[in-house]
Amino acid sequence: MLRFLLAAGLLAVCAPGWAGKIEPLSARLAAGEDAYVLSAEFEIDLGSHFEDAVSRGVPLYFVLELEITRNRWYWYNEHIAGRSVHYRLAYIPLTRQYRLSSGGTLHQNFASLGDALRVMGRVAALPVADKSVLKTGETYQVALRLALDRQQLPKPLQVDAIANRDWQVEPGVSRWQFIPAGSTAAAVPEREPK
Amino acid sequence: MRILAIVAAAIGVILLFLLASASANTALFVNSYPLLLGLNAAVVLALLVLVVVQLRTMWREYRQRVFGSRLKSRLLLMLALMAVLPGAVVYGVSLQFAMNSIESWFDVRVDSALEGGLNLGRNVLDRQLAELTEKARGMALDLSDAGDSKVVRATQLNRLREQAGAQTATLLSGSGQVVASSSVDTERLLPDLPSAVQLRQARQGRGLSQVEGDATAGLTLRVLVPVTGSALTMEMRVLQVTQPVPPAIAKSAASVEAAYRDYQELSLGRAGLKRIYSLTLTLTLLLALFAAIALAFFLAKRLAAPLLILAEGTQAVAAGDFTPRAALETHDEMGVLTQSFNRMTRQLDDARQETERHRGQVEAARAYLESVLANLSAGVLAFDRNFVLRATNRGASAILEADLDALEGVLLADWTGHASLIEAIREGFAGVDLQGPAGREWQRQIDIKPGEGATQVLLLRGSTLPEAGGGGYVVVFDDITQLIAAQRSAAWGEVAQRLAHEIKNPLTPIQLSAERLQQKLTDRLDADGRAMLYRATRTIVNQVEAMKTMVNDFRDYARTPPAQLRPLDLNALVLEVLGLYESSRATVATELATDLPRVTGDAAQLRQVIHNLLTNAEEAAEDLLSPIIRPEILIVTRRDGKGVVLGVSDNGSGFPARILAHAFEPYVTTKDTGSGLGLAIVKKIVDEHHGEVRISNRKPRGAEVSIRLPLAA
Repeated sequence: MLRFLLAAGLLAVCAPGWAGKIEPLSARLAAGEDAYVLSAEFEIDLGSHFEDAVSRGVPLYFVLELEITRNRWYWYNEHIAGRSVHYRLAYIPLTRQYRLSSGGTLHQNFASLGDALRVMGRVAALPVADKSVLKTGETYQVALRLALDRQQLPKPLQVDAIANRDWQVEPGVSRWQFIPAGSTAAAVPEREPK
Repeated sequence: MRILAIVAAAIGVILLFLLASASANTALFVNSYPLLLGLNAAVVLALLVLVVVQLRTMWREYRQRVFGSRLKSRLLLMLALMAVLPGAVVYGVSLQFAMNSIESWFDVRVDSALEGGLNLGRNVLDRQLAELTEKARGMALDLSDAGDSKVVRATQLNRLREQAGAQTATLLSGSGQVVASSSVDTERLLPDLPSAVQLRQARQGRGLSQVEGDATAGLTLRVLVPVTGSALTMEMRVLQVTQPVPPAIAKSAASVEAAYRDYQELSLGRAGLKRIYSLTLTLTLLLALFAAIALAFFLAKRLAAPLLILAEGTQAVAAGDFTPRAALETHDEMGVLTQSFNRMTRQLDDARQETERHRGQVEAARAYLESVLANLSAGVLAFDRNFVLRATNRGASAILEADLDALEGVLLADWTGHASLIEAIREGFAGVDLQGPAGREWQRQIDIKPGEGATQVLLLRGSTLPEAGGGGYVVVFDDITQLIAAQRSAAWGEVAQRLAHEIKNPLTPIQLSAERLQQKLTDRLDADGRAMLYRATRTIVNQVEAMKTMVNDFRDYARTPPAQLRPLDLNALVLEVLGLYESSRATVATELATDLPRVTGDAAQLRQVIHNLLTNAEEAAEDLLSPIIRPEILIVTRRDGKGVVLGVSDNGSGFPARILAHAFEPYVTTKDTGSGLGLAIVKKIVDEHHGEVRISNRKPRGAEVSIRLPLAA
């Protein structure tokens, strides 16, 4: 039994694989007709283990979070507005399709995982805040984050995710300053400093 | 330490419970699982440190052979063994069980069954899709033949759709606009439209057919086929036909899919599951083990405590320390044991004190007895039943003038000297049977001659000691020389008085008669006769005179008046008397102490004493008649303890041995003339002064008389 345990441990540690990573490519906030809208693009790499897991039918959950805050010197930053979108990516073995559900209502089918990930990584015209919420000329901090929701993983995979670096997907984070000026204001996304 | 251990164990138990709950897939603990794991590990580590510290302490005590460490370590070993062995067994079995049950979920048959189910579902769907595609192709062919009229197309589409039994049929232009549509569900005017990608695919190839939706929302078959127009100018159109998968099939497919997914999840998380179980079990085991060992320390200490108290107490009692030990205030056997031990030591202590007290009393009684014996003027000799000397007193040594202490433990027969005493004791006890009634006594009087001194008369009384005290003999003796002398002296006084009375009365008539004879007969006798008469009468008169003097002396001796005792200076008295001896032929020398204290005495009587002593000395010295030796007299006074000694010595011939013992008796004399009363009177006076008289011969010649008088108060 001990030998078996050792072997299992070794297998888990030595299994070839790479860790996943979500990299923000671009992100911008723009004034739409009656709301500020988000456009962003992420490059998503699930890593070997999660790709395997998805292909076996294990659903993965992702969450896109945006928070707009205003700096306050005397207190925590003030929360101005926020928006979060939940994604569910699952392979349906019966139809051999990847199915991406966002927000619990919109479902899309994809023949390949890459298509599904590309669609999930592309955010276009997502309204995040009413125009009245942000004041023109004020400086706001915007934080955008797309990450794997580990809490929704099956329990045994959670343990793996704790113990094994390969069982992790590094979240993609992008922060920038936004000054509403009537027109669009974009910033070059910057990687979150490690 | 103890509180620390209890707290650690309690925290450990709580954490373990949480960990177990977290392992059981409860959403609440999802996030805190790593935290719980870490906390548990920390508690395990803390317990381990505690156990190591305790073990080190115990090992050090064991090495230093601290009292009780052996017992404690043995108890600890047993308790720890009791915890470790079952723990290890349970751990092993549980781990094996958990691993086996996890492994048993994964089976090749289950795997292939699920795979097969999935394939079956796929096949069913594929067939339906193929059927629908076939129908759609037919519809497309029919449609391509049909005219361009909108109404015709609509009715034809409707007819075709009903023929095919599809749910919706939609004719789309190349750009994706709906040309005509038909649906079972008339309320929904527009069916689900294909995406641009799908449309493009359909246009380019031989069409597109796929299953959409998921098992829960319901599966839909969507088929896109291109419809070639009759005219060349007419653009290519696309026919979309959709049909829902029958619910029964969809449901079965969904369940197969769900089972497959769950199985895959499990199979992916197999290692993780095993890790969870083994981690939880191992942590539980370690926590339990370390907590048990830590607890075993306290239990061992607690169990050993009363035993140690008892052992320490026993050692202390053995060393003579009876102070009570700390008793355990519990009601179990150990508590009772320690309490009874304390009671026992207390009783021992009481008994010892009682013994001490008794011993003290006995010692005191013995000391009292010894002091009584020691201050007894009578001599006491105690023998055991074999006549070995056991005890003597000071009186015996003084009377016998020998160190009797050296003879203690010596058999009576082995004594040197004291022959007459030994003889008397042996004879005295010869007839006494030790087995007979105790207290059989005998009494006899013997003469002994210890050392140089005069013969002493001893009165011996012998008695057997009671059997209870070990038996033996005791001899008590008194020096009754003085007593006899006094009796003699008293008898002589009586005799002298009567003699004086009886003899003196006829003396005067005899003298008168002799004088009368001489007076009457002088004239009647011739010269010869007269001369003879004179001679005879003179002899009578002289002898009568002498007799009278003698009788008077006797009377004086007997009738010495009571002494008038008062303080006086002995030196002055000596010098006063010496004045009378200035014309003496003997040389009189004095050695008078200058700081002589006053003595108690009657001046007239003491003067008589000095006078008598000087007369004796002078006469003894003059008796020498030797031309070579000049008669010398030495008078000495000196302080001696609580008295004053007056010594008168001469260089005469000394006392003959036969006189020495009876020198103080009346009518004992060395001289031709003299009543022999001199020393007797001296003795009588000194006795009345509570003093002592000693006579001894000097070397090479001469005699000494010394008188010891008490000091004035």
